[in-house]
Amino acid sequence: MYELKNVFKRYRQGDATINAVDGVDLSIPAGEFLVIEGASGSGKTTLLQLLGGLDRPTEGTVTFEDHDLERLGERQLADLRLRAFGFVFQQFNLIPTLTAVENVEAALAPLRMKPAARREKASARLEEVGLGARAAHLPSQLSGGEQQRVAIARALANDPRVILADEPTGNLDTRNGEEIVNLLARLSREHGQTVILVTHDRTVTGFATRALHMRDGVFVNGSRTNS
Amino acid sequence: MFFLTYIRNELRRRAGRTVLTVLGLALGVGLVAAITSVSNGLDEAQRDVLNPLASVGTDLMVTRPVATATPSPAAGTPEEGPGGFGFGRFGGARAAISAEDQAALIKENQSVITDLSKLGDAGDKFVHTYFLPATQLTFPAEQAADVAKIEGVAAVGTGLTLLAVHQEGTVPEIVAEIQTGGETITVEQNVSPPTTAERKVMEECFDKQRKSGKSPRDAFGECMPERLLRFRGSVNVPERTIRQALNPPETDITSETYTIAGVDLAKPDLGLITESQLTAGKFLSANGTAEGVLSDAYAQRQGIAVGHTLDLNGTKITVVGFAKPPLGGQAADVYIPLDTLQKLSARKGRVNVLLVRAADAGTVKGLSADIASAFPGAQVTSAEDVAARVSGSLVDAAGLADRLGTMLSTVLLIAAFLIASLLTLSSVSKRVRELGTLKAIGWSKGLVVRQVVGESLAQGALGGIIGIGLGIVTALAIAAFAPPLQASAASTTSTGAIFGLGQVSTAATDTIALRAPIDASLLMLAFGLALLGGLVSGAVGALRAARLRPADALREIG
Repeated sequence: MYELKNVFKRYRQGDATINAVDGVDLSIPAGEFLVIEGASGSGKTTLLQLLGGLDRPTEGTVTFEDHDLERLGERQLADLRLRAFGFVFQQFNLIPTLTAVENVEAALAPLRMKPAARREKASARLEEVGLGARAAHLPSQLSGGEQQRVAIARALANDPRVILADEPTGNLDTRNGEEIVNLLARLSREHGQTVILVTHDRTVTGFATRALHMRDGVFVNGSRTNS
Repeated sequence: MFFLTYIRNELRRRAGRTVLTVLGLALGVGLVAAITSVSNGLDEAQRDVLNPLASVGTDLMVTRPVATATPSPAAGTPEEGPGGFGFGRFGGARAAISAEDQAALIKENQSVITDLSKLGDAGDKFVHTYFLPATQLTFPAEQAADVAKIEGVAAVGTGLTLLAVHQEGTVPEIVAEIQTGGETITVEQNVSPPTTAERKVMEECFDKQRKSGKSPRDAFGECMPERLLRFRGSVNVPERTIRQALNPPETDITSETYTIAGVDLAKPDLGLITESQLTAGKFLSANGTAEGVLSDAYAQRQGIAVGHTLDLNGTKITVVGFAKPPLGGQAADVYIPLDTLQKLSARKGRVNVLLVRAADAGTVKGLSADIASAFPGAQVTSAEDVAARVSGSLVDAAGLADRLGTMLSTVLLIAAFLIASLLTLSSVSKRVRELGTLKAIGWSKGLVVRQVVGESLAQGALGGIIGIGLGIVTALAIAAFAPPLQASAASTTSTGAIFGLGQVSTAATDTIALRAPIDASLLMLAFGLALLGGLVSGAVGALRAARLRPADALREIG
C-alpha cells in the first residue's frame, strides 16, 4: 500500500536545519495496524503528515497505491484525503460550532450527496462509535473520549482505506485511551482498513500488528512485529 | 447545503463576533445611506431653488436699472426718451446717476409727491395706492420686439414689477393755528398849526366862553378844532387767531409697501410667474383682468385667503390663487395681469422687465453678452447669476454635504470595511486549526475559501439589511428634527429710502424643510456596499486561509 524510499523532511528553524525525517525507508502492506512510537520531537508526526499527503518530503518518494504523493497536485491530494485517508488528531480538531453529527457530515460535504443521505451516513458512523444518542451535541458538550469518538466517526465517514491517527490517546485518560485504541483496532478488523497510529505511549503498541520506534527522524532498534 | 448549515452555525454560535462585524458594516452603510439621502435632499432643494428662472421658462432677464457705474468721459448724451434702452445709439459707462436717469427717476416716482388734499376733505378717511418702479426704470413694451430680433432669441416676454405703496389714513387739515394781537401800539405825529379860518372860529369861541364865565381850561377843550384833538393816542390791537396753510402736513397716515407684478397673459409660459409655481387655487385666466395671485409668503403674512378682494384705487382684484415665486428673479408679492397694472399705474404700454428664452440652452452666455451690448444700460441676468445670489443655510448645508458628506462617507466606509476585514482576519487566524482540519479531511482550497467568503458575505448581507433600516431611521430622524433651511436672494426690485417711504426688504427668502429622500437605488447602494464590505473582508480572510498549509495548521496546535 505504502512505499517510502529514502524520505527526508527538513525544516529551517532560524539558522539551524532540523531533519525531522532523516532518510526513512518503509513499506506498509494493506490491512496493517502500524504503531510508530517515539518521544516528542522524534519526527513521528511529520512522518504521519507525509503519509497523509498533508506535507511533501524534502527528498525521497512516498508512494501510495501507485500514486507518487509528491507529484500530485493540490486538488488530487485533497481528493485523496477526502476518499482514501481518514485523520484522527490528538486535540480531536472538531469544528466547535457544529454538532457531533454535523462534524461527521463535514467530511462528506465535498461530495455531491443529498442532505438526507449525508445525514443518514453520518448518523450511522456515530452509531458505530457508540455516540448515536449524542448526535445533536456540540463538541463543548461532550467529554474528551466522546469527542475523539466523533473524530473517529468523521475519519471513517468516507470509508477511507487508511486511518492516520496522531496521538489519538494523548489527551485522554488511560481508560478512555484504551477504549479509543480498541475501537480503532476493531474497526480496522471489521472494515479491513489500514491504521497508522503514532504515539509516545508504549502501551498502545500492544494493539499493533507492527510497532516501530522512532528517534531523531529514523527508526531504531526495539521495533517488532506482532502476529 | 452543508455549506449553508456551516455558515449559519458559524454566525449563530460565534454571535459576539458576528454582531460586531454586522453592526460595524450596518453602521457604516447606514450612515452612508443617511448622509447620501440628506445630500440628495439638499441637492433636490438646491435644484428647485437655484434654477428659478428655468422654472418660469426663462433663460435671461433684461431690466433697466438706474446705472450706478462710475462716471466716464465716454458717457454720452441721451437721445431717447427717459427710461429707454437707447437702442444702439450710445454706450459706455454711465455717471453714478446720470442726468437722464435722475430725470427719469423723478418722473417715474413723482406720483407719490402729491397733494393729499386732493384725496378728500380734511378729516375724511382715505385709502390710496401709489405705484412706483423704484430704481428699475420702465421702458416701452415695443422694445421687446427689438430684443426678439437678436439672433438666438426664441421668445421674449414682458413684465412690470412695481413697488406698491398702500396708504390709508385721514386727509389732513392742512392748516396751522397762529394767535396774534393783544399788543398796545403808541403813535406819535407832528400836527400842522391851525389855519386862519380855524383861528378865527377859535377866537370867537373863546370870547363866547369867557363871557359865559367858564374857566379857560374848559373853554380850550370846547373850542379846539376836532382835527387837533386826535393828534395823540393809544391803539389796542384785539387778540385773534389766524389759520394758515402748512407744508408738510401731519396726519395718521399709515404706509405699507409691497411689490406688485404685471404678468403678460399673452405669453402664459414666459412670464414673471407661470402656472407651474401655483401652490393653491387657480392661475390668472387669460381674460381675467381683475384677478390676482399672491405669493405664499405674502398671503400668509397678511392672512389673506383665496377669494379675498384687494382694492387697488377702486379696482377690485379677486385673489384666485397662491404661488411660490421663483427665488431671486423678479419675485413679487402680488401678481395681476399686465394690462391691469399698466392701467392702474398709468403706465400704458410700458414694462420694466423682459424675459428672454434662448433658442439653444448652450448659447445663453453669448446671448447675454449680445443683449447687453445691443442695449446699453440694460442689465441682463442669467439663471447662473441668480444662483450665485442665492445664499443662506441651504447653500451652506448643501456645500457642507457635498464636501464633508463625501469625505465622511468615504471615511465611514473605509472604517466599516477595515473593521469587518480585521475581524474576519482575526477569526481566520483563530480558526487556523479548524480550517487546517477541513483541509486534512479532504476539503479543497476552493471549498475552504468559499466557506470563509460565504460567512463574510452573509455578514455583509445582514449588515446591509440592518444598515438599510438604520439609514431609513436616521434619514427620517434628520428630516423630522433638523431645523428648516433657508435660501435668500436679493430681489432685483430694490428701493432705497430715497422717497422717505422707508425701506422695503425685497430679499426673497425660501424656507425649505430638509428632506432626506430614500429611494430604492439608495437602498440598493447601501446593501451593495455592505455586501462589498463582506466581500472585501472575506477576500482578505480567504487569502489568508488559502495560503494555509494543512501541515502547518495542524502543527500550530503543538
